[in-house]
Amino acid sequence: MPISKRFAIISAKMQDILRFEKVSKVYEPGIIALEDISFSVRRGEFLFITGPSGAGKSTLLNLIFRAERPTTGEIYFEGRPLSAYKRKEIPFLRRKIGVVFQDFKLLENRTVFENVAISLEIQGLTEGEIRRRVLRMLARLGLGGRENQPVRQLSGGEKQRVALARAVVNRPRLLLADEPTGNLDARRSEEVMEIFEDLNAEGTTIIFATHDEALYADRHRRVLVLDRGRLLNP
Amino acid sequence: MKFIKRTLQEFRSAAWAYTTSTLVIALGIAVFFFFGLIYFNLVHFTEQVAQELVLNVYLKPGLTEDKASFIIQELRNEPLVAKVTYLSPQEVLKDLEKLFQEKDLLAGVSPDFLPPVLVVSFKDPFAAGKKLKEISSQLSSLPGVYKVQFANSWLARLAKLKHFLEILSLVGLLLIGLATCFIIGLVVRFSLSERQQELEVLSLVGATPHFIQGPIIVLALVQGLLASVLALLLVYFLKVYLDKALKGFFPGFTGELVFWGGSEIAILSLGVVLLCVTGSYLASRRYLRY
Repeated sequence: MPISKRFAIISAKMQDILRFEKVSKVYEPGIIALEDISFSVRRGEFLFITGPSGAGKSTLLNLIFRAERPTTGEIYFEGRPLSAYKRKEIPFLRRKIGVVFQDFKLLENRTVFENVAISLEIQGLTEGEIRRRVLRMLARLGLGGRENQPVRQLSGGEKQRVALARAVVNRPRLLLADEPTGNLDARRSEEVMEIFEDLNAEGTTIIFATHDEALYADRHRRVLVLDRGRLLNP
Repeated sequence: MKFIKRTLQEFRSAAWAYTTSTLVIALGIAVFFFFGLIYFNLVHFTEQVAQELVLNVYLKPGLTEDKASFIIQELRNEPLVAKVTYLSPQEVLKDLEKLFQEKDLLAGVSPDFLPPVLVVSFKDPFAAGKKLKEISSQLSSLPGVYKVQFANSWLARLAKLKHFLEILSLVGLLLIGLATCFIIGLVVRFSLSERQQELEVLSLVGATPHFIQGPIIVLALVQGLLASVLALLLVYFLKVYLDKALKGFFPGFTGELVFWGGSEIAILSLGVVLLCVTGSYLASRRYLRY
């Protein structure tokens, strides 16, 4: 292979923030959630993963931040195989990956501020720095002045924005969103999508899982289609 | 400072669960401590009774303390012997008068008629019990010794009783101890299971196990200490009540129940703290997703 071609491949690989190589996930007793999945995501990309319920979208995202492990195959994050991460390294991997869950996964009995601040507290930032960054993020997501409100008093859309604030406040390199508009009406969904677009424009790589075609239509982004655990357009 | 703040925040987020579980643990521990105290006292009681069973060496009349010194020395050389007391015939008579209380019974009894006695007590009467026959026959052969007497049958019975009580204590405490461990484990797990999602979320956003479990472990430590103090106070008040209630109830029992000393209390409390900390560590570990 000519050197220029090899260099091009290496260069392309270096630009990949994430790479799946023949990844399968099988749950006992023999339920295939993902089968032979291979794809890569470039830095700064906004990638949609779509497919009907049960297609394997959530499983695929769970594999990326090591909430689950693949049965076979390998996933590379910034060039390093996830299987090489030791248990004690997982928290540090997760700090580089923000996740927005469909069911929010917020601490219901804590305030908006406390929920968002968690992402920074775990990194040992000073109280002043945490306060400054959290308030700025809340203001940006339209939650200014709500910082002392308990999360349980918020609407679904507001909770989703708190979850998004928590995921991005520590400036992750990769943002995963699992049906983040699943519980929102069309107007709120559009607002949330605008926030994602802004974050992507600032350089955050985003993988957005949704079954809602309206969210990715006309956005001119790459869309991976999953069906019964198989990638239809690798 | 941050750690203390997080620990307080952790307590505030589940204050009710922490308070109720501390009380339940304290009650469980109190049951264990109470039975422990009862068994401890039963064994102690048999030892106390055995301690009062002494070896009497009756000497030939006219043998003074000075003349009996070689027998006393012989006894003191025996490693099991705790104390040897020489009672002159006059002292023997006084003891008899105390025992019978009616002076008429001893009217006309002259001290010269009574033999002097060496009263021998043992450090560990149960250990000495096995060698008493040997010691007794050795002493009987010494010049100046009239007769050697000891309550061997009583000692044997007490030794059997003590052995039985020790086994009963061990089995009983083991069962109660296991039940207590089970209760603590369940209570800790139950109180943490309410916050399963919270612990999961923390681990998913990148918190280290140390960050998540640190405040939980510290609170478990405080919980263990508080539960121990509460349980010990409860058992101490029960002991005070039993002291009053049992006074004169059992023959031979006139004193107070023995309570644990400082080192025993420290060991018990440490055990409870360790149980709480281990329980919390293992229960919280189950909910961490790494």
